[in-house]
Amino acid sequence: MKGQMSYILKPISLVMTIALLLFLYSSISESIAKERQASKTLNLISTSTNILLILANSEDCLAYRSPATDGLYANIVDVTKLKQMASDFKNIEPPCARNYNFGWRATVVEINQDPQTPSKIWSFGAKNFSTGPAFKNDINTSMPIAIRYSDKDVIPGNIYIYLVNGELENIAGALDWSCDLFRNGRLNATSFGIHTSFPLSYYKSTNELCSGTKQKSCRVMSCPLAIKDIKAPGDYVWTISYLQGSLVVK
Amino acid sequence: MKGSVILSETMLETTAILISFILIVLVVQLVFSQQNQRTYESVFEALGRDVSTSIDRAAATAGNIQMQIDIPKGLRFRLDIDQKALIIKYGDKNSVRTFFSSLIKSGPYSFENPKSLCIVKTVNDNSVYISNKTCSCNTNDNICDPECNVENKCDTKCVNDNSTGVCNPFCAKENPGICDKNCYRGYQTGVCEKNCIKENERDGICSPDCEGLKKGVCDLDCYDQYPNSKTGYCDPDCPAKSKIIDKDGVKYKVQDGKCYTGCINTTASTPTISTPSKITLLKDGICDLDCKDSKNICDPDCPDSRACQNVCTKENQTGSDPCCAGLVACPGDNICRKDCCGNGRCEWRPGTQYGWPEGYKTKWETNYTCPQDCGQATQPSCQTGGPFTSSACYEDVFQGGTRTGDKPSWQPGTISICDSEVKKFLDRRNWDINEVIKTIRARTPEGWAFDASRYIRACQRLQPAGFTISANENYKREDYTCCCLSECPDDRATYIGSECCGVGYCADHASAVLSVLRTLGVPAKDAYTTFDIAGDCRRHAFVVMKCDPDLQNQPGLWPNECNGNANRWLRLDATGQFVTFLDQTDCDVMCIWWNDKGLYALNDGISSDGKSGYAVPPGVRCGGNWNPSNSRCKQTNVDCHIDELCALAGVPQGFKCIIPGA
Amino acid sequence: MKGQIFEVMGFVMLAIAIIAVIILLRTTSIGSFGKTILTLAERHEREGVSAGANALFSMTESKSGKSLQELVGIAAYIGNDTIDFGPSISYVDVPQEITWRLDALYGKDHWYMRVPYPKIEAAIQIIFIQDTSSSLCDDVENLRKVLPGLISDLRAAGKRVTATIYLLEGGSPCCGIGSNPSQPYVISCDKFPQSQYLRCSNIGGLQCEDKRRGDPSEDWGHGTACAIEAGPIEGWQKFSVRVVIPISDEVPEGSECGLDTGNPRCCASTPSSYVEQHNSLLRGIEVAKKNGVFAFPIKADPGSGCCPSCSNCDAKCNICVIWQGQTYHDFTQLQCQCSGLVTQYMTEMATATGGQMYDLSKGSDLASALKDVIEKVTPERTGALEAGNRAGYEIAQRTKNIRAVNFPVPVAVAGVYTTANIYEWA
Repeated sequence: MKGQMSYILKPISLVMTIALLLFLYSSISESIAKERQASKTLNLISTSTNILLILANSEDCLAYRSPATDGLYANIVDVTKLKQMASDFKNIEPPCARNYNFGWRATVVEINQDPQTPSKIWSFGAKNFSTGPAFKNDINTSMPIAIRYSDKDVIPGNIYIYLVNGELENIAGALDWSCDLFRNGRLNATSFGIHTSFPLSYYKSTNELCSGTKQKSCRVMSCPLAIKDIKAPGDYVWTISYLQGSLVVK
Repeated sequence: MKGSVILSETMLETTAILISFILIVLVVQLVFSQQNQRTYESVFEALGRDVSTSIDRAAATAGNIQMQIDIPKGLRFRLDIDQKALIIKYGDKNSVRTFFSSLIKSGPYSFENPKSLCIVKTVNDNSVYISNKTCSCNTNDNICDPECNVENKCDTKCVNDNSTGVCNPFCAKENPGICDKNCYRGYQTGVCEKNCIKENERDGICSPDCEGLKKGVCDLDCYDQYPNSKTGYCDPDCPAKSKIIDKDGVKYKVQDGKCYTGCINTTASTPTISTPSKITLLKDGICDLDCKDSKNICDPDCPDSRACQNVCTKENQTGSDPCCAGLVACPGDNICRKDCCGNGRCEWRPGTQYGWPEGYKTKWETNYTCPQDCGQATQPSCQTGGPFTSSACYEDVFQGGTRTGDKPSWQPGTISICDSEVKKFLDRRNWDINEVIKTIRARTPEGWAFDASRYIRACQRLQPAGFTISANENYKREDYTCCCLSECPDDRATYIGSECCGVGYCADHASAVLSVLRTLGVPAKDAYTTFDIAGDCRRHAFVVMKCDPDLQNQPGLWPNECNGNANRWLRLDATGQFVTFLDQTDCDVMCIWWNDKGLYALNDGISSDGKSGYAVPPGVRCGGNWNPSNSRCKQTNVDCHIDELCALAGVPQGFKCIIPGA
Repeated sequence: MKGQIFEVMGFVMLAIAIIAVIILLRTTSIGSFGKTILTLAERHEREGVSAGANALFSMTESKSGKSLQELVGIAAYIGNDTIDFGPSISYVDVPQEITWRLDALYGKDHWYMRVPYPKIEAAIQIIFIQDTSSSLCDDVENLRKVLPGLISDLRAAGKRVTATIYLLEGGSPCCGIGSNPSQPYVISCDKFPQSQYLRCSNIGGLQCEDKRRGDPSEDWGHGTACAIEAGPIEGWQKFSVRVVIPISDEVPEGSECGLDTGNPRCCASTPSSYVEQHNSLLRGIEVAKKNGVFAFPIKADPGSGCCPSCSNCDAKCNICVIWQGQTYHDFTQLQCQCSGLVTQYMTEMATATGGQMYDLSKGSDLASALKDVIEKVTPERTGALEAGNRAGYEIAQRTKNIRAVNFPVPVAVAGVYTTANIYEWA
């Protein structure tokens, strides 16, 4: 009986140990995945806050620079710069606050004391974002600002940002970043891998890279591209070079 | 078999232990190596995120700022920063890349195993600098530290340091003679590096920080950038001295094909309909020969600049511009002339067909129009008045040191009908009584001024009306009370000087206004001078005029106030600067009225001695209502005696007393 | 059996240890990320609050065109949350302006703001309008004696008082005052000891449209209007307390309105017969209100003190003037009879402007009247500006995470700083 007992117990113990170890391994892997996810969310929150701060406070973006004191006032936006930005960057993020990892669109809304008065709105940034399986995560956040018309006319407002992390944004960001490096002579050639859940197509006339089948999401590119459309979703490796002002993507 | 059972148990155990051991080791190695890798990856990701965020925060800060990031110990990696990307390479071929969002306008950077990173934002460059050290401003280490900007110190290594390009404004202050190319840029750095500007040299930079500053040398880049109607930054040292020649006492800039328009007079350059794109340059003492003949650019230093000449309308042209270049735009036809005499238009005062603007009242007959344009019909004929030219003031009568009453003191030659000055006065007012009344009501200088010094010597000499009128017409000051004499007895006077001489006091004003009314054509029965001897008008002289219905249809003789008020008496008080109805004022002790026809004495309750009575001229309210025999008048204790002149005439009733022969 | 039990126990312990490790990993690693997310979210909220405060103080108020920072600074200077910018701009309620903006930025009831006010003494500027007719000889002399000492005492006590005396035109030659009783003592500015805080001027020197309509030496209605428009000699200071004190014993244009059926017209007859008197008063009131000036008219004794019946009075009771070397005494019957109307008009002016009328039976009452005026006009200061949800703040302080921002506010007129404390919670 003693021998029979050990025949049964030891294998069972062995199996249980293996099962426990496998469980440990899978938990750790799950933790790792959750960590990655949390890290991305962190990144999103951090970036959205930073972009709002840059838009509202950087002289290169919207901040008002007083000629008298030759300094910058915090969170005061010059309405002239705002109008110019809304006109120049209707469909793409302005370079002063562009982040190549993400796509975003910002909206500035004036606040009036009388809620019945229609508020002025200005909007600029990317017009489309990744959808469906190409979409990873997003965030909507805002920050209060003051909109300066003149010394005696400074009105409250809010700046809202919608920031998206998705495949289209990542791909377009990588291409635009490469374009900037090529333009500044930092690179001769580069390559990187992409994953796309949708076919990708490029429209030369509008210089837009689009993702999707029936309903496409498109982004305006920094450089014109010489690229063949990708018809099927999947993983690809692109080799990029620069020729006569265009990115050649193979 | 007994022995075989023992063998299989031991073998099983051993196998089990071995497998378990192998599995454990494998799993542990897998887990820990993965974790190890994962740990490194997450550490570097976190580091990348922290550095990116710090860079963005620095870029978004107003003013100078520095931030220090201490790298955790034991990390070995290479950090590259370029084009908004932060790439951390660690291990053999592992890397982590994060992007930041701001434009740092510096770099690229590459650091190997940094211990600390210092991120500095400087306002002067609007750039973010990153270095692999702790943040410190060390002025002796032969390295340019942007941190010195934050600490308000000069790091001399930064001056002209190509590697960093930092503009340190404190070095510019400490070393005023040195050119720091880092501060001398085509955009604002907050520092005007005038030492970087070389005469006759072009470097492609027109520094906006030097705008408007005189530095002794003309920046040819600014000169080149703003020629021929292009406006922008003004370099007041341009054109360069080498381009200036002196000719006939005028400085000229030689022709080089560029009319420099960087410095413009923004007020004068307001577009008009006729000159929508005209630019007027600032006066700098130099006539730019390239601008002189330009149609649209006026250089005020050029004696015969076409564009400047167009600013004022030329002689004999219709004046559409705001000025007539030393001439005058005649209101009748808007043509610029030296004077408006002979243009066939009669330019009268405001309110008339070709009326002059305010301020031209005394100029018209000398400069800008003349009787030949106005025709005789506009000047009514003037009938000479009666023989009585005297006006009165009242003097106190004392008995034994006590004042017992008043007596009039007559001065001849005071009332002047059809005097030339009176006629000029009326010419300027279109011979219209309503214009006369406007002047009586107006404040000085249009209205009448009061010479306080005359009031003390009131009865020593009354002025001829023409003299008083002329002095008032020429009185340009706003001071109502003035003193002709330097020892001014009245501290109400706000001006003491010769301009005051002749403006007169109430008795002078009254005889002048009477002269005006009578010259205008108001009948003698309707206009008098009078003096309120002791009533509520306080010893004051003024003129009264009746709203006689006979005057209603006579042009220029019917005051607007008389509409609906026929037969009422007006009080025209040039001293008080008002015209109102006599019954609305408090003047009710007027012993006599007079004009150029004679004296009109008291007409009510004359006492038996024929010398005293009540001051109730016909038709005038006394003391409150229309009853001439009102008790108020009876109660007055003023000895309102008939004037000696009147008594001598021997008129018994005293109703009126006119000088014989008049 | 024992050995097997130990074996089993060993495996059980191993299992427990592994499970414990798993739990630890999950809580620490994920937990730390969770904390980091929370920290970042908090950071974003903090940035938002700070951004909101920065933006708020740069925003401008539409009527006055001033930034909120300037408005809070002015409110701190005057010690009052509501600022009166005069008739064209009217009142600005600073807490209200802050409230709607922060409600929009932070959400209603989720914020509270407090700005403590520094202790600042308000500037008090007084203009006297002095009737210079002969019946005021003794009152002017009292003013001359009392005012300089009063001003210097008040200033020593920390009150920032300045006074300008405007003498109406005229200047009667009073008798018997001074070292030469037989020489006329003309009411004029050189009789007043002037200093940096006490000045005198003639109203005749002012460029006013309607300096006087009635008697030049007595028209205190138009005189008040003119003097207020010109302001004190140093000029009206921003946000000072402004006071005008007309001193007279007659109705605004002088009481010589004439007689009506034997009685003084402007006191006994219908008001329409002396409408110009009231118009003069109204002009003074209109300009005082337009310039935010409190009127504290002082009625001097018109003779009713020494002869209450106002009739058959001894001439020596009231006025004494020296004219051309002769001494004249006179009792001003009309002024005496119109005393009631003077009180009525002065009260009307005081009521309309938020001031008070003083009836001095004796010249020596002047000092106490003036002290009373100063006391009345010295404004009460509130301790701090508060806006938002104070009760919510007190609760949130105990239970929630509160974000606080401090913002320095310059009190420009006084040259000091105060701090705006803003609290926000979710």
